[in-house]
This record gives sequence, structure tokens and C-alpha cells, in this order.
Amino acid sequence: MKPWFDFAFALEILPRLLSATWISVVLAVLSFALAVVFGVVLLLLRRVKFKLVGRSVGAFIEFIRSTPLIVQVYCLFFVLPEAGIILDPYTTGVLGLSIHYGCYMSEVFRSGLDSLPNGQRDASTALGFSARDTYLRIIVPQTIPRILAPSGNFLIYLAKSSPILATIGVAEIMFIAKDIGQENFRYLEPMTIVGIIFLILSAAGARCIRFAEAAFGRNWNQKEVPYV
Amino acid sequence: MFDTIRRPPAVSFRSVGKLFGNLRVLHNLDLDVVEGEHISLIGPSGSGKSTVLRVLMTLETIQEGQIIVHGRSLWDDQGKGSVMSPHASEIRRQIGMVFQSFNLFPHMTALQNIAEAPMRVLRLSKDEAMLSAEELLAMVGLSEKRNSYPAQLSGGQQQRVAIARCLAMRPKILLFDEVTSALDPETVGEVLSVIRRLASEQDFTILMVTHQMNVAREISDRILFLHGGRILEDGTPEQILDDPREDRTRSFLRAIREA
Amino acid sequence: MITFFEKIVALLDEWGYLLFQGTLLTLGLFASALALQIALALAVGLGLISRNKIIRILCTAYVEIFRGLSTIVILFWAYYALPFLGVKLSAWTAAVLGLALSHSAYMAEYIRSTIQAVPKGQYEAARVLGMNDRQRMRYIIFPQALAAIMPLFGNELVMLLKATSYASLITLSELTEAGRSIVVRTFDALPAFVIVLTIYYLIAQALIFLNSLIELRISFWRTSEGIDRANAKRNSRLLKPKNLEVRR
Repeated sequence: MKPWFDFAFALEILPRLLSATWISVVLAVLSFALAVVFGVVLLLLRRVKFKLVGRSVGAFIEFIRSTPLIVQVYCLFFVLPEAGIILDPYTTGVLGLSIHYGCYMSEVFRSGLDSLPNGQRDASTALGFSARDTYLRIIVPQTIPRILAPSGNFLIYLAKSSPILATIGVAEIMFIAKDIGQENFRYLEPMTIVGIIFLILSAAGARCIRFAEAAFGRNWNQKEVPYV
Repeated sequence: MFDTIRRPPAVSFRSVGKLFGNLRVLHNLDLDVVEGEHISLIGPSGSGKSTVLRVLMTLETIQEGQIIVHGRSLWDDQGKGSVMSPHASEIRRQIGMVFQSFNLFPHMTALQNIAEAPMRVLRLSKDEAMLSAEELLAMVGLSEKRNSYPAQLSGGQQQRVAIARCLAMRPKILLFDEVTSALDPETVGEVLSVIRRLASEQDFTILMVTHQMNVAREISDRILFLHGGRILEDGTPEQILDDPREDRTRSFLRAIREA
Repeated sequence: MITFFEKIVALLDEWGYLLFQGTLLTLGLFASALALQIALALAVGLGLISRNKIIRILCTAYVEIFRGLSTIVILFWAYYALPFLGVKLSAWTAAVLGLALSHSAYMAEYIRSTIQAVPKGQYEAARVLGMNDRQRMRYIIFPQALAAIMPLFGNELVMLLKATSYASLITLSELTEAGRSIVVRTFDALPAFVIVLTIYYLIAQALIFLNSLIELRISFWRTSEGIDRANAKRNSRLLKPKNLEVRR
């Protein structure tokens, strides 16, 4: 057994790992999109006039956030077929990730909304805006820059939790890496490559977040521009 | 000065009561403001003066009593507590409010701030709204700041934009809630001159909460002294400021002068 | 609904020992990883604000690397890849190390930001009163940073608890694995998972509660509200602030 890094082997398995990376990324983006939708739904449900609904949703969110993602994914994987719903592992995985991170997203959105000064809503009422206009033109545009950074971070966490789905058979990057390891009896190279890929994804993700923050008009909070 | 028999009240408060949980903020308040009258509300903090404006603007609820605006009920008491009229949004359109904390929309330029409500609520076209916004901006003396964002404006400038924004909806009743309290002393003057002009040149009904006694004296027809959710004294500026009847009014004015 | 409860009771009856062992393992992992994590985070966190540039760079690299890698990758690498470099770790060691290293990076960042959030005036006041650097850090800066970090710490406790479930992926029979093995042997998944999730939830709630107790003791001096609560608590049996006279 070679007690060091086998670069030739690493190069050999790289293409397979890279295509699995793509699967992981797509999985993450898809789950994130669903998580955002789910988060918004939860947020709206929480504000429903019926206090019981709001409180139950709050309790649900607390429960999901306090319990491990793996168990939730397993739960879906084993329980859904018993209830007659048969889904492939990929879909089950996406569902599990979306629900789990959807709860986190709803908290992010909620704190983003709460951090908006009350005066904005007062001013909108005083000017006669309808509720719809208040939300669309005033509240939402100001909330988005506030939630960009936390949301982006969760997207990165999501991407990095795809290995969990390997246990229910989704062919994402860690699944492939273990596969390669089992086939060749060498785990060092595939695992290290996975680590490097994750580091690159993290750094790229952080760069994207900063770009998005700049693009979404954080600059309207900056003070006097010198040459105006 | 005003013939109250011939001019109908623009705003009427009838036995208005408001509770904040267990705390009573407004106590059986009766008030009639005639069309075109300028009223200043003064008093210690917690006396309910801002609340008077806020319930008129339906930013807060009332639990007892009735509020009538231009002959229509905004808040109605049907025996089980006050309820907001279903036509509230129509009635509200005749009222405009300027806030202590300006509340400009930070993601829009000065011009967009002013034009936004006319576009969305009055459904003016963008050109019409922008044109009228330009006029209003010129009226408050800030034409060159039309493309500036609120973060780039001083407090006084922001407040003037806020006044222009309020006027863009063509209200008949103006509410000023301590509009100079959050400003540096240097910038208070520019805002006050705008208010003076509004008071003297145009026919608004004005309710103003203020700590500036000189302004109150200058533009008010009546000054109300509030304390503990009640109107303790009600009279002309000369009556209230120079020769108040109540002890509490006296001590309040003394405290203000010493500050 | 009645039969559901009966199912749960039956499950506990038959597999209770497995779940119990799993829970013990989870708690053991949690405690060990937490201890190591705190030690590492303190070292790295203080290193991040060190005057020595090399230490700063090393610590920043540490944080960037361990935050950039997910906990799972670190666990897998420690258990599967490391043997090829000559270091063979048991699953337990790999798990504890992996969890501690990974989470210490996040905690080091919290420590850095809370210390840097203490107003500069505090440093000056302490210096003017004649304290040296060590005293200043120990009596003035650190307590204030500690008070600020408590809410973040509570969150981190729950995150670590949830992360112990990853150990099931490297063959440790902690609570998640216990649940999974029960499910593949019986054919009724829902009651088993309900039990497992509830156990995690209860542990998480207990952690949050303990954290809030500590938070109360540490930060009672920060706000008048805290002083009121401390005064109220003084009469309860839960807390006895020793030799502390709480005055408004």
C-alpha cells in the first residue's frame, strides 16, 4: 500500500468525480429553490389570522430545526412508501432537504422582515398604499438585500450536506467517492479530491454572494458619493 | 376668527378612548377642528398627543368613541367598541402625515419617493407623477437633489422630501408629528420655513405635534395642551403660552423654556 | 391514534435498550466533541486577533479550511482516507476529532467577532486605570465578549447535537443508527422515527434551557431587565449568585 498520494490515480478518477459534482450542485440548487418557496409558504402561514395555525407552524419549524437532517431524510425514505407514496431516492432527498432548509429560510425571511423599521409601513399607510403595493414596492425590495447573505450561506450549507443523501442511494459526489474507494481499495485520493472540490465550491459560493449583494443595490445605504 | 357655525368641522373626535393593553392613552377625548384651522398639540411625553394623530391616520386603533372626517365616520362606535369604517382608505386619502423619523423609502431617489404614491394609488402615469413631483421638489427647494438617495441627504433635506411626498397625494388635512425633533438645530429652520409657507399660503387643515413653541405661536389658531390622555387646556396661542390657566400647563411651559 | 401510542410503547419495550445505548453514545460524542471544540475554538479564536501576523494567518487558514469543508467530508476523510497516510483512527476518535475540528472553526469566528465588538473605549478605560493586558482581557474584555456570545453558543450546542448524527455514516451506533437499524428490522418506520426525533428534540430543548441558565448568570449585569430577572431569580432555588449583591 503506497503511504502517500497517488497522483496518477487521482487524475484517473477526476472526471467521474467532477460529473458527480455537477449532480450535487444541481441537487443543491433545486432543493434551495424549493426551500425558498417552502420558507415563504411557512412565513405566510405563520401570519394567518387563526392563531392555532400560526402556533402549529411555529412549533413545526422549531421541531425541524432542532432535529438532525439525516433522521428526517431517513424518515421520508422509509415512511413515504408505507403510506403508498413511492419516490425515487433523488426526489426523496430533494424533499427532505427542502423541508429542513425551508424552515431555516422562513426564519431568515422573518428576521429580515422584522429588522425593517416600522416607519416604512406607517409611511405607506399614510400615503394610502394598498397592502399589496406596500409589500411589493416598499417592504420586499428592502428585505431582499438583508436576506441575501444569510440565504447564500444556507445555499452553501445545503450544497455541502448532499453527502447525507448518499446513504439513501443518491449518486452524488460522496456516493461516487465511496464507490471508487470500494472498487479500488484506495480511499485517500477520492476523499481528498472531494475535500478540495468542496473548498472550491465554498469559495466560489462566497464570491457569488458578495457579487449578488453588490448587484442588489446595497449601495443605496452608502453615504454621499464624492463627486455628486 | 372662524365662524364655527357656518364652517363645518373637518375633523371631530367624540369621546375617543384608547387603551394600550391596560394602559389608557386617550381618555374620553372630544375635539372639533374646523376646516382650514391650524392646531398645535403640546404636552409632556406620554400625554397622548402623537396618539391623537396616529389614530386619525388609522395607524393605531381606538377602542371607544367616534372619529369623523369631513362628515364621514372614520371610526364608529356601535356600542361594542370602535370599528374602522369600511371606507377608511377613501377617507384616509384626504389626510397626509409627516413623521418624526421621516420614513423615506431608502431604495428610491427623492423624486421616486414623491412620485411613487401618486403612481400606485392615484394611478397617475409615470410622466404625470414625475412632473408633479418635480414641482413639489422645487417648492421645498430641493430640485438639485432629485436623483439623490435618502442616505445622501441631510436630516432637514430628508424631512423636506417627506413633506413633498405627503403633498403629492393632495391631502386636505396635514398631520405633523414632531417633525423637527430628530433634526440638528441648523436644519430645523429650513423645515420650519416650508411649514410656515404651507400654513400661510394654502388652505390646509393642520394638526401639529410640536415642542417648538415659537412655531406653535406663529402658525396656530389654537393650541391644545394634553396631559394623561386628556385635553387639559384649549385656547389661542396668547391664552395658552402667555397666560395659561392650569398649573400643569404652567409647569410644562416653564420646563420647556428652561431646557 | 390510540393504536399509534400502543405501537410506540411496544417499540420502546422491545427496542428500548438499543435506543438507550444509542442515546448514551450520542451524548458521549456530544460531550467529548464539545469539550475539544471549546478548547480549539478558544485557541484559534484568540489567535485570530493576535498581534503576531503569522499566528493570525495560520488561524485564518484554519477557519477558512474547516468552514469550507463540510463536517461530513471531514469525518469521512478522517475515517477512510487517513489510514492511507499511516494514521488509523477508530470510528469514535475520528468522529470526535472531526466534529470538534469542524465546529471549532465556526466557534472561533464567533469568539473573534464578539471580542472585537467590545467597544474600544473599554480598552482605554482599563489601561487608564492601570491594568495590564492580561488583566484587561480577563476582567474587562472577556466577560463582555462572553455575555455576547451566549446566544450564539446556544445555537451552536443544538448544531453540534444534530451533527453527532453524522457519526452514523462512519459506522458508529449512536441514536440515528439505532433508529435506522430498528426500522430495517421491523416494518413500521413511523413510530420508530417519531421516537428518535423526539429524543433529539428533548435533548435540544434541555441544552437550550441549560444555556439560558448560564446566560442569565453571566449577563445579569448588562441590562436593567437582566438585573430585575436576577433579583427575581435570587429568590428561586435554581440560582444563587454567590457574594453578588444585585443593585439597580
